[in-house]
Amino acid sequence: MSHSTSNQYCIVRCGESWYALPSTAVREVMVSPDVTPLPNTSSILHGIAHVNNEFLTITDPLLPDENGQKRGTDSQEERVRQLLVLASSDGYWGILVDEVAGLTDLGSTMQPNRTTDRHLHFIGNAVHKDNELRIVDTEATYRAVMAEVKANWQQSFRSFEMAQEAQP
Amino acid sequence: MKVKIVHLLLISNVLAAVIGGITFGVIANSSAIMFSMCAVGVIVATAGLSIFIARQISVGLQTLEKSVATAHGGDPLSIHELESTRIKIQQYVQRWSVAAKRSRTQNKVIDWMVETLESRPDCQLASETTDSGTKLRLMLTAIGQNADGCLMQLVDAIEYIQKSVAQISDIISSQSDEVEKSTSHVEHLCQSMAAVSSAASKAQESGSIVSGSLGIMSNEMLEHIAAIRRIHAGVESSESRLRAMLDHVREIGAIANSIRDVSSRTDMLALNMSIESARSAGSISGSSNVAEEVRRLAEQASQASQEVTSLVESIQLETQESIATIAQQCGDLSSEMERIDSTADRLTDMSRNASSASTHLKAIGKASNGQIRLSTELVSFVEGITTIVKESREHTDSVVLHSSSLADAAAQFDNVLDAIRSISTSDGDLRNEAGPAASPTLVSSLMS
Repeated sequence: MSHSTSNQYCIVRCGESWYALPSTAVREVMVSPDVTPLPNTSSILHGIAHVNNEFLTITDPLLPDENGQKRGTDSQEERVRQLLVLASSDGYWGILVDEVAGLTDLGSTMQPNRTTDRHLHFIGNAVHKDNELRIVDTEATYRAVMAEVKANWQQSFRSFEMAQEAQP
Repeated sequence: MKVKIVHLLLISNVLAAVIGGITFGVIANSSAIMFSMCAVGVIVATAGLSIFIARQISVGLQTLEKSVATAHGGDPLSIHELESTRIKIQQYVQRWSVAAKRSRTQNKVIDWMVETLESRPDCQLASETTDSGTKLRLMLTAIGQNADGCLMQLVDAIEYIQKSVAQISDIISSQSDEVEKSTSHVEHLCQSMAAVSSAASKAQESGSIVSGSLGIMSNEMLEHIAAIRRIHAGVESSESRLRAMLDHVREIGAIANSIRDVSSRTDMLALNMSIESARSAGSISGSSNVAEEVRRLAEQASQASQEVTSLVESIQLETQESIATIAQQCGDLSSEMERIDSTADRLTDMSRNASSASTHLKAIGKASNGQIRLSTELVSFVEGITTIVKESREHTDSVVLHSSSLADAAAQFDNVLDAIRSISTSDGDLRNEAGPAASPTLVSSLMS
């Protein structure tokens, strides 16, 4: 029995939110490696990590609380987060999730609804096991993230140049 | 001393009686028989009274000596006084011996007088008769004077004896009162000592019972201590076993964690396998189904490991609480053991002290019994002293009575002497006036 892969999505949970990512965009699931944070970036850009001889840009959909800590479903439990390595047109990047529920065919539950939440871009909604899913537009999100990274690097470079110029 | 006095008096009076008897026999037919009879009778009566008084005094002295010898622990002052009185009485007895000697001298004078009368012929002249009467009157006067001196001494002696006897009687009365008081006090003392002995005996029995009970309690306490030590050792062993079990539970938890980690990695591997098959084949193939099945198994293993982990955590928590409780109980048990040890030591000390107190009480009971015996003997001695004192008092009363009799006899003797004096003074006149015919008148006056 064969199924079309157009409706196959990888269901993940991040905090209390459930997301669905196209299975074709997912390259690998692994335990979250050590992530080096990037200064002067938004909270969704978690940092960069070295995975399989590549430096990946890592994002985190979780919203930080007042103390700057990421809030999960069970803050008391030590969370072992997982890294979802995604493939885009320009390369690989990663997204930190709390749980990967598996691959599923959303089928007719999908409802197109293009929205944006911070740097995350969504193309629609769906329902899976009584959980409302938000279908992530991986390409748009990747571009937004990379734009953020570039802007950060440019700002940092300018600051560096200004500092160099300011020196006698 | 008293034997000597009695012998001396007996000898002197026996001699006086013999001489009187001989004189009576010789002059039985003479005209001066009545004078001689009177003189001999007076002398014999005086000697008899002297013997009787000497014997009574001797008996009193003997009783007093016995009293002094028996009442060895009596009042020293009263005994000393009794002794001094006894010595004075002995002195007066000696004086009476002197008086008896004088009586013998008087007897000799009477003998000389009788010889003079015997040398006179039966029918003499009136002038010769007158000379003999004058001589007789002179002799009677001398006899009266000597007897008067002896009588005075006898009266003085009787007065002194009465005074001394009165003093002795007073002393004996006071001594009797004191002895009765002493007897009463000693009886009270005996009763108190009996009560003390009874109380000491009961206290000794109670002390023995307490000592035995304390000994039993001490032994039981030692057994309890041994049992508590065994329990303490068991609790410590349980604690160590619980700690070992906690270590094993931790190991089980670590194993469960590793199982969960393996299942997680298996789950991830199955997921990656599914992703890879979906990406490569473009459809869900058989390998994808296998991966999914593996993933479900991994999830089940993960859930089982989580349950094991939760169980292990609860077991760890309960075990730690049990260990903490056991450790606290061990500490409490140790402190209780120390307290029980100190209590056992105190019980041992109490038992030892109770035994010592029982021994002391036993000694007190023995001493009290000895004191009761001694007090009883003392009471019997004091009763003996009381009896002796009563006897002394009776003898003293008897001496007083006889002294009174002696005083009466001395008074009668004085009357006789007065009669002799009157006869000696009137006899010359009668002889000068009536001649020998007046002799019956003189005899009748002497007889009266």
